[in-house]
Amino acid sequence: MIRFIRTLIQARQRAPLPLRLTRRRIYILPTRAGMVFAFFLLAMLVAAINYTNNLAFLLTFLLGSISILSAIHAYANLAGLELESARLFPAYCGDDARLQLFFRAGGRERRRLGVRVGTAEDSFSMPARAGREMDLSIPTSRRGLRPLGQVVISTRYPLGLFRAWSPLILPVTGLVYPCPLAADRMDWRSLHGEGDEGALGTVSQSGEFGGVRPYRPEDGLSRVSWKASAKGGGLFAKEFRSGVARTVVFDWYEIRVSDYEERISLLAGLVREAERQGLSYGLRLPGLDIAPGSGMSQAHRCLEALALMPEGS
Amino acid sequence: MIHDKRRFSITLLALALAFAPHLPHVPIFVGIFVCAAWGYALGMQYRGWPVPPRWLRVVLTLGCLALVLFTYGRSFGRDAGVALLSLMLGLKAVESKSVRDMLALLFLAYFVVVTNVLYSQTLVMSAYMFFSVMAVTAALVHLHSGESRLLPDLRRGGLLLVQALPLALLLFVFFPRLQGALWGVHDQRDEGVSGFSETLEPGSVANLSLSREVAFRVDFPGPIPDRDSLYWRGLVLDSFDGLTWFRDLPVELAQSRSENFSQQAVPYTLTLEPHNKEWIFALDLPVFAPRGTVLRSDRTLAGMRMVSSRSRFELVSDPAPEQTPLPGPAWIALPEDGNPRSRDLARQWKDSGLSPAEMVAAALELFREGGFVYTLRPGAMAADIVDQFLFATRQGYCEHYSSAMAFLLRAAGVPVRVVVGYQGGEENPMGGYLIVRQSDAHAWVEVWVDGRWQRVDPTSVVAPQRLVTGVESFVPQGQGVLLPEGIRALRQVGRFFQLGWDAANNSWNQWVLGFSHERQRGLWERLGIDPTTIAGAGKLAAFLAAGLCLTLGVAFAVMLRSRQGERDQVALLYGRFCRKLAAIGLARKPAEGPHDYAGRIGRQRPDLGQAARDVIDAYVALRYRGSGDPAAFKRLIEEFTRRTF
Repeated sequence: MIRFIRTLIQARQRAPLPLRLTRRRIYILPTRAGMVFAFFLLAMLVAAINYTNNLAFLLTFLLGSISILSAIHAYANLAGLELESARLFPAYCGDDARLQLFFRAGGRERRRLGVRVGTAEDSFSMPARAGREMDLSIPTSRRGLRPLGQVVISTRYPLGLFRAWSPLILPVTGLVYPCPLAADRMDWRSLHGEGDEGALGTVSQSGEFGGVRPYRPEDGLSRVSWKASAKGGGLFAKEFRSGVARTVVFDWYEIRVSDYEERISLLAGLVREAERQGLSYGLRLPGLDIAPGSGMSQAHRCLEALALMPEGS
Repeated sequence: MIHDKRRFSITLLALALAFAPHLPHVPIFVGIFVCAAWGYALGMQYRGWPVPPRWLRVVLTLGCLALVLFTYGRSFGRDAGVALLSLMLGLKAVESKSVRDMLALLFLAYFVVVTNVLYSQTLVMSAYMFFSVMAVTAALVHLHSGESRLLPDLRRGGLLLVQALPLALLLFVFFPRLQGALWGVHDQRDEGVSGFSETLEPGSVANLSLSREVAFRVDFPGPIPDRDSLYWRGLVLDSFDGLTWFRDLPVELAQSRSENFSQQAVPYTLTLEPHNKEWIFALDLPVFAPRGTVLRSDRTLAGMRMVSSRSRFELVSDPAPEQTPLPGPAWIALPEDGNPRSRDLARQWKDSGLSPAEMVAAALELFREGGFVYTLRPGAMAADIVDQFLFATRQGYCEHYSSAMAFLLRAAGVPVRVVVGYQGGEENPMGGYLIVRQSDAHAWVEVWVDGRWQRVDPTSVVAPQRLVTGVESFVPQGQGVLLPEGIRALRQVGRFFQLGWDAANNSWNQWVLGFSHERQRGLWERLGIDPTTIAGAGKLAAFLAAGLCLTLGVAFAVMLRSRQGERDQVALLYGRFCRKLAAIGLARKPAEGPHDYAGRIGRQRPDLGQAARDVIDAYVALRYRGSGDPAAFKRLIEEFTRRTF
């Protein structure tokens, strides 16, 4: 029964992007301070009745009305806020994933809105019709797909007597790469193809500059030739003389590590290291072959495949 | 965190504004302690002064508590409560660190504002209280806004207050008032409330004559009667001990005459300032006793309790005295000896066979022709004061004249009594009501003639203008130097403002402070609501609910409307343009700027390229350069739509 209700509530919280906070999504309740204040007001009212003091009545009613109105102000502070996009960037397991949210204020100014996802939280204000990007760091603990979970946007403005909040479950799923084994812990001899020791070591000399060519997205930012690009006419990438750079293929079946997860971690570390060193690299996994290549998209392709490896048996 | 420092100082500022009116009535050590504690708290924030250790705070708390107990003893009342609250404000400020602490401080500040009503409810003080509520509200907003500037938060605090006012007034009018208190309210005897004592001796009225304090205000539904007929009776004194007139005979209660009063009966509403005595002043003979009062056999009114707060009475008075039986011998009793010459004079009258009415005339004749002077400073008198006054000094104020006249008539065997109260009053043309001040205090006598107690005012023959212009013409001022015209005009202006101010205060007192159970019922009746029936109660609830919905609805609408400006109009038009293009498969991508979008349209649909480029250029000019005409932009889009589709 409880599970059913929870499903029902979560179904209500599911929100497609872009979204606008409306009364269907906004909840409002007094805060603890608000409860204390209500108690204060009650005491004042009793005193006013007892002393039949009209000024005390008037002040009590004024304070009561102010607190009721502050609920409307809190609601208005949240209502109409637009969440235009939400992106959860990939991160290595154990690192913080960056959540990028883009808000638009709509027709009213916004004061002190808090955003919370799990343990990460931050707050922001913005003038009417402004847009604003908010970055949150989401901790990760295991590889694979990571649903974002509940995002709560809330406010206590203006008096802190009421809290208006909007719980959202966004259609955003992040990818968590496997935790990569650090390069200095790697056993290079376990690699296939390069039987001779220090095979990868030669790669470090491969950075012989061979000129520039137009930039392709897969080149990665590290290869942008800023000097050439600065002259105008688009981005250029540095090119390294081919033949010096070596091609390696990391093969799942050739890794001499027995532990399943450790094997994945090792491969992830190799991919990261190879990308860092500008190698051309490929990956062979059970049922999947990734042709050699290099650049950000190649790294992502490899790491994604590793992240999505089924749970070890 | 510089912002937190600022927030803290603004919290303290709001607190100080709320606390300021209490400074005169807390003991001096409390004021010093609070200021020192706040100063130290500021030092902690700005100078990094150390947080006082826990034991010190405990000692201070206990010390404060002990000091309050020591100062006020066991009578823990209003003053002790406020002193304790003030000390708490100081201590709490010192240990405040978090936002929650500041929140608690500001709640306390609201509470401090409300405790002010126990001391003063004047118009000025009430206005100040509203101001401090606004200040505290703004400080609360500032605490929650995350803003570094104060002005927007001040504005928001003001907005909240303004929006809350209608709702507060609605609740004020419709929230049912009870009659009387829930539990016993301690009478707060204020020191220094001026007014009569229960006795009349030489100097007791003259002492009041310089006080401009208001005794009561009277609202006549009809025209205000002539000033010289306005005798506000307060207390009837029946016994004399040679120096002082006082009340000695047992009080009997009289029946109200709810019907058969004469045609000249005058209805009026009297608002009495608190004087902490039970008597109530009424014109001539009040016909009946309003609720909470009794009518005595001497036809004066008395409250069942002391008048310790401003009270309103609806009264009807009959100027014609009623028939009473011959009073007993107590009404001609005098001390055994003293004042022999006066007794001789009275005996002469009696022996020459004068009737009581003729004796009254003779006494008045004596005052008129005997070289008597009406003065505020008659000089001190020792023994046989009546003799001294009548035959030696011949200078006196109204208490001397009435005392002497009563003595003479009693010595001659005529029943007579002394009445103290007020005479006259000042009409406030701005409010159409009468102001009666302490300086209008007066004493006169009532003589039993022809079966009635008839009023005789000896002052009227000595100083007739006293009844017409009031006592002010007798108050010594400027040693008789004629004032220049300019100063007199200035005085008139000052008087105008004084009367206007009194009118404003009176309205405040009548409409806000004096809004009682009875007046609420009266208002409801005019709205056709009888809360004793179920239907009436339902109607009342409906009224309240409708008002609530209306005021909250308006606030809701105001808060939720977005500020649609010209720029928004442009955005709306551009949105329409983009939707039109989306319909033919040229949707703008979310990350695509206007120029890129125009370029893509040109590539994909060269036939539309130029027209779309024109629209987009106009949009860019309006949106980012702030130049161009929105109307022309609109025409451009309309033309584009017509041509394309």
